[in-house]
Amino acid sequence: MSSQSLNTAFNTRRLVITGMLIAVSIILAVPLNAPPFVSLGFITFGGISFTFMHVPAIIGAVLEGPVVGLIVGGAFGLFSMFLANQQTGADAIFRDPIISVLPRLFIGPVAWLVFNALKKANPMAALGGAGVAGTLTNTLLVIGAIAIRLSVPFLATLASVAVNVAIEVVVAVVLVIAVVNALRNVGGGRGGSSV
Amino acid sequence: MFELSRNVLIGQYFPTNSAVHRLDPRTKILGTLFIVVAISLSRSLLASLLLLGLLVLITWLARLPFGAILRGLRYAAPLLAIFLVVQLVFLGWQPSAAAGPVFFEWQFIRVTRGSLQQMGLGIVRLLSFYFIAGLPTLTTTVTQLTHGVELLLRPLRRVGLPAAEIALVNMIALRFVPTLAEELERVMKAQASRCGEIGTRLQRPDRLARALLPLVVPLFVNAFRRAEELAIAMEARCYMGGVGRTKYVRLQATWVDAAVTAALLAICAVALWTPWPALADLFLGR
Repeated sequence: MSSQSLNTAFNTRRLVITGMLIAVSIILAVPLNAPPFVSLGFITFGGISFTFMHVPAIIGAVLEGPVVGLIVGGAFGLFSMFLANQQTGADAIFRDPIISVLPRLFIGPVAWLVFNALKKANPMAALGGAGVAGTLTNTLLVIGAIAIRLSVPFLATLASVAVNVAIEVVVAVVLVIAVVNALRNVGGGRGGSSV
Repeated sequence: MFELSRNVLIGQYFPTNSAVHRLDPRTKILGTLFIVVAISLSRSLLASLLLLGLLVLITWLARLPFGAILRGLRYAAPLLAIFLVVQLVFLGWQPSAAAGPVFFEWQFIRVTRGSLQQMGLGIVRLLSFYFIAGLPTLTTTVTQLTHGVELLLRPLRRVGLPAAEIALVNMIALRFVPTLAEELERVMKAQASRCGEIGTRLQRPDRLARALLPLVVPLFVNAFRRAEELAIAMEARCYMGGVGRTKYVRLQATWVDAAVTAALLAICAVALWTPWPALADLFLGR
């Protein structure tokens, strides 16, 4: 349709979806007044806190390709850098963009690679795999960056968040499968809704 | 109960036609950037207070309602209070806050000058971010912001940065935050009215997860549906990317904009690079 400059990898649709997913990320991060949730994206109960702020990046990558995932992940990183300024405790280390932004760029591309590798064999497993891969990319790279920047041992830090990581993986897998399947059913606005 | 769309200030516009509203969007974008960087990097309590004062002044000049901006704080306050007390009690033991004299020590409680300093800085920063997060969109329409971002990024097009596309993605993200918040609010109310477990305080992880899914899935589905509709609408109006597009709106920066930008840059530089004395020294002596 478009004959000029817009490189075909990034058409209008992808631009718009990228923007929307960033908006979703913002909504997930904003503190809200609905009792069980401090904000939708960061959940705490009984001293354990976990996040699925990286899920928009995974979903963007699975549905629209690695570039969308990369940009949405980068926006999530910038957002967490911005939010870290409010914190004084341990979370304040996220003020460092090498910890907060750089690792998040890889969430989308890695999730996309795994999804594409498994897609032929089993689409459902591919979605789950993308969820696992995206989450682990986020966790391992962030902890790796912390280990390098603050020179703390990698494995000890990883062990201290092992429970959170397990929960995050499960939540991400469930969300990615649920959301992508719901979107397939809706059929992207064309055809009738089957929900 | 769930007043999401009132609490989410990002992306909302509050027209008062004040002097701040009439500034060029580029001035406001650059100013916001300067202040965010200054607040983030400042380690001095006095400098942070100065920047907070600057933000309060701008908000007052823009005739924005302080109540609406700080409303979010009301819900966060109890949690914050607990957090601050815990910090006050334990921060004194950490090497980063051990500097300075110990003011108070009793069993496991220890308050040092360093810990007070860090706490004060945390509170001032938090307040500052409540102000700065809303300011650009409250005083500028999204369209104007888009033009501003695009013009500011234009010089970087030489190195292959798609300025117009970045501005567009930005605009869509900002524009749809209030819309999606409103839709999420509607879903929450629908769930709550059908005995969904929202609005009740629950701590069991499995029930929490079950309450979460019916909120997040519609949020994504709504976002994608709107994205499809918007993409079709844009293509129907022959949107073909930013290069070669002409504009209906032409931004005209005046000397006021240049002066304001320079003044903000100067204030931020002063706040960052002046060796401010510690506040505790002023009140308590060394």
